Amino acid sequence: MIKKHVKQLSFILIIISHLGFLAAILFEKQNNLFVSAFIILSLILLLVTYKKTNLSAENHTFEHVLTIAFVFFGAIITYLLSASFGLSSVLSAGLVGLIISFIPNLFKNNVFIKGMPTAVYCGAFVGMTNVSVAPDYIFISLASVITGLLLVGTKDAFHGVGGKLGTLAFGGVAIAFFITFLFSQWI
Amino acid sequence: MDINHFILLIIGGLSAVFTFVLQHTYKQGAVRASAIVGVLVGLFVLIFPNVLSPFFTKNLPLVCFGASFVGMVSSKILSNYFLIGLSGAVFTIIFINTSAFFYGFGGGLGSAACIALLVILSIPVLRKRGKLTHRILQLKKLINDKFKSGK
Repeated sequence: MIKKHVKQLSFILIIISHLGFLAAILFEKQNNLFVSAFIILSLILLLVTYKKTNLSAENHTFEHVLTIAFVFFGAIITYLLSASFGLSSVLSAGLVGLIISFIPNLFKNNVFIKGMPTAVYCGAFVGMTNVSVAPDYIFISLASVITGLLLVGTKDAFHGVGGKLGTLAFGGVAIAFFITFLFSQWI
Repeated sequence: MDINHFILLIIGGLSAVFTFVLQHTYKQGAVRASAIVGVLVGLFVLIFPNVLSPFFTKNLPLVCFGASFVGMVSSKILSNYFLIGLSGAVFTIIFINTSAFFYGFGGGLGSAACIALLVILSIPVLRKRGKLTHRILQLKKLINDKFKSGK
């Protein structure tokens, strides 16, 4: 039952991420008729796909806490490469993804290592966050932990859909941004 | 939309298809296929920063890498090259118009890629060509029956 609620919550967070992303474009480009029409059409088509998506909670198990650690690892390494070593965010994330994709070849019998590249690559997207948004490693750590929790929660939802990992990273960064914003206002 | 944006649209489509081919035809897996695209385009811009115009130097890596997330799609969900390329183009349109509010947010490219792919997946007539062919055949049969009964 709890698993189902976690899954529903994660699924709703994905939808909110998408709708928020498109709503921001619609709000900003409301004077551009072509873009507004395109975004409204996209919103309608998105809703159609969401409705068709199966949300069964069967076979859903909580992954080991290592999944969150992998996301954290990917985020920190990518952020380090881009913020400290001056590499572009694309090259940093690409290098992390490329190197980590060979790790399962070294540990062929380990089932858990098999899912490692996905989690680390998801973290790499968190690490792509610009320094203007993520000024320090605390922000990246918070965002990567939230993203890791979302990744565990949405294990079966949107499986095999390209961009799912990026959406989770976006959701994680947005939530972390919101938390730090509230925290700064409170202080 | 100017010529630069049009070129980006085509590059976005090609990048998505290229990643999909790397993933499924060359059996590289989704993560490695996307990462290869990111590394190649990232290195190209790093080594040759002045070959392209500032517009392309800034946007080309982002479009190629973002569209490569579209190409990470499982072949069980979408396996039509044209539709994958179209998703890449839709991604590019969303990317070009991304709100300044979300500038620098990690995962923004992936989010746009996911939206683009889900938009294309919502078109069942395009997705299930078999269904379309079946309906055309049904219509043809119906016309033939009517024609025969008319005789």
